[in-house]
Amino acid sequence: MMTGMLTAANILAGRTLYDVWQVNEDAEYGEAGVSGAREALASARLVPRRVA
Amino acid sequence: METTDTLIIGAGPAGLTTAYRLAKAGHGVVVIEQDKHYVGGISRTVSYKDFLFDIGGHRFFSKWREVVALWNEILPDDFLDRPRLSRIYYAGKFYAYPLKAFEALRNLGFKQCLACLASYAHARAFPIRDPRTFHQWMRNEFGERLFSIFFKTYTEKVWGMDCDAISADWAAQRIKGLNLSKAIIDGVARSFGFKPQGGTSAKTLIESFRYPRRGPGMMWDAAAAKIKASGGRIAMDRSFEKLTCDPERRTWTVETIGGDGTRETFQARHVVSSAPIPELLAALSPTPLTLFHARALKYRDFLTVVLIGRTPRQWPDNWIYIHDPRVKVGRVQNFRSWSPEMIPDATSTCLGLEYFCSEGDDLWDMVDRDLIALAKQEISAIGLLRGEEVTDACVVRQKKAYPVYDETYLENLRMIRFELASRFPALHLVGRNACTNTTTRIMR
Ligand SMILES: Cc1cc2nc3c(=O)[nH]c(=O)nc-3n(C[C@H](O)[C@H](O)[C@H](O)COP(=O)(O)OP(=O)(O)OC[C@H]3O[C@@H](n4cnc5c(N)ncnc54)[C@H](O)[C@@H]3O)c2cc1C
Repeated sequence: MMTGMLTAANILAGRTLYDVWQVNEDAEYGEAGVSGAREALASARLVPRRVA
Repeated sequence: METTDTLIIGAGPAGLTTAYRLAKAGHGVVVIEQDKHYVGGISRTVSYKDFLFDIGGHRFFSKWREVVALWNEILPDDFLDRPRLSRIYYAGKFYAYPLKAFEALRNLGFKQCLACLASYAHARAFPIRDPRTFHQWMRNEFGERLFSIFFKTYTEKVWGMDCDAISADWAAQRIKGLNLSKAIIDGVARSFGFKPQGGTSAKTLIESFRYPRRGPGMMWDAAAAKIKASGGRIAMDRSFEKLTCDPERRTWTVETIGGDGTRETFQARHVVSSAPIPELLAALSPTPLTLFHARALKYRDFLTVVLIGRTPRQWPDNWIYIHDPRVKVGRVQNFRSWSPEMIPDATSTCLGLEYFCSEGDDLWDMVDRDLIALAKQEISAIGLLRGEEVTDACVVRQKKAYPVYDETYLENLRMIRFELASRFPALHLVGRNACTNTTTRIMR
C-alpha cells in the first residue's frame, strides 16, 4: 500500500519525489503482523541454500 | 482505443491504493484485473455458498500512520479488533510458540521430555564437528529430538526441501540468538506469566489486530467502489498482452485481452504494474535487456483446501501450525476466529488447510477432488475434524504467493530496476513485486 501511495504522489507531481524501490512493504505490518507462513518464508528473506 | 492518464495493472492492494489516490485527485485511471470476480489480489475475500475465506490470513497492523489513516478512510465502519492466538499443534496437543516450559513439559509428557533433555545433553557432549546442513546445525543446538518435533517438518513443508539438503549457514542466521538454555529460562518465566525481558515482547507479540468483519477483501471492494465513484474504471477479467513504450510521444500503448477473447487497447501517459515481474517484462516492447534476470526470479505457490462441517471440537486460535510429519498440511486457518461473519451460521466450523507448493509439483497438480480427499484424511489423522463431520469443501489456489528471496533475487531485481528506471521512466512497479529493501527476519 505504501508503494501505491508514493507512486500516486510521484505521478501527480510529475517527477520522482520518492524512490518507491526503497520501501519495505513488509514493514507495513511489522515483524509480528505477518502471518506465520509468511513469517516462515519471509523471515528468511534468506532462502535456504543447498549444501554445496 | 481508450485514452487515460494512468493505466494500472492489478486490482490488489497496491494497484487499488494507487488508483484510489490518483482518482481522488481527479486523475484519470483504468485498472485492469485478470480475475473474473474478485478485487483484492491475495488480500481478497473468497466466498463459497455464503462462507468467506481469506488466503493466508491477513492481519491489519501497520507501523505507518498513513497506511492506518487510509484504511480508516476507505473502510470507516467495518473493522473489528480481534484477539490473536496461534499455536503449534503436535501429536494432539497445543503448544504456545515461543514454547512455554511447563506447558511443553505437561504436553510432551515426562518421558518425552526426558528423552529431549537426554538427546540435548548428548548433542552438546558430542557435537557434530563443522555442521554443514540445517539438520546437523540444529541437532547440535537443540538435540535431535527437539529438532525433529519443533523444526524439521515445518521447515520442510514451507520450503519443500529436506533439512539434510539445506545448508547450515541459513540456520545460523535464522536461529541466531536462540539457544536452549535461554529458551528454557524464558519459557519458565513465561509459564509464570512474566514477559521475557529485553523489550522484545512489544515487537514480537501483537496480542490483537484489526480485521474487516467480512475479511480483507471488504477493504478492496470499498476501495474499488470509491475509485468508480471518482470516475475511474476497473476492467475485470482482463490481462495485458503487450505494452509498447513510445519515448518520443511519451505514451504507452497497452493491448489487453479479456477472458472471453475480447481485445481492447489503451493509451496512457503512465503505466503502474503490480503484476509479477517476469510476466510484465515478457510483454514489454522494446524488449528489455534484463528479461533474462526477470525469468530467474522464483516464486512459491500456495493452496488452501477449505473444509466445512460441524464438530463439537472448538478452538480459539486464528490459525495453528501443524508440526506433524505424517501430514503435508502446514497450517490450518480457523475462519470463525478471524471474524464470526466469515461463517453464515452459528454452528458450522470452517477450516482452511494450507499447503505450500510450487506450480507443477505433485500437490499443485492434484485435481480438487483428490486434494479434498487428502485434506479430509489429514484433518482426521491430526484429530481436528473427523472425516464424516465434513459436509462440504472447496479448493482455493494462489499462484506466486511469495517471491523466493534467494541470494540472486536482489541482484536480479537491482538490474531490472536500473534498466526500467533508465529506459521506461513512466512505468511504475508497485506492491510486493517491487521491493528491493527486504530485511532479514528471524522466525519466532
Ligand atoms: C500467506 C500470506 C499471508 C499474508 N498475511 C498478511 C497479513 O497478515 N497482513 C498483511 O498486511 N499482508 C499479508 N500478506 C501480504 C499481502 O497479501 C500482500 O502484501 C498484498 O496482497 C500485496 O498486494 P499487491 O497488490 O502487491 O499484490 P497482489 O495481492 O498479488 O495483487 C496483484 C493483483 O494483480 C492481478 N494481476 C496479476 N497479473 C496480472 C495481469 N497480467 N493482468 C491483470 N491483472 C493481473 C492479480 O490478479 C491481483 O489481483 C500475506 C500474504 C500471504 C501470501
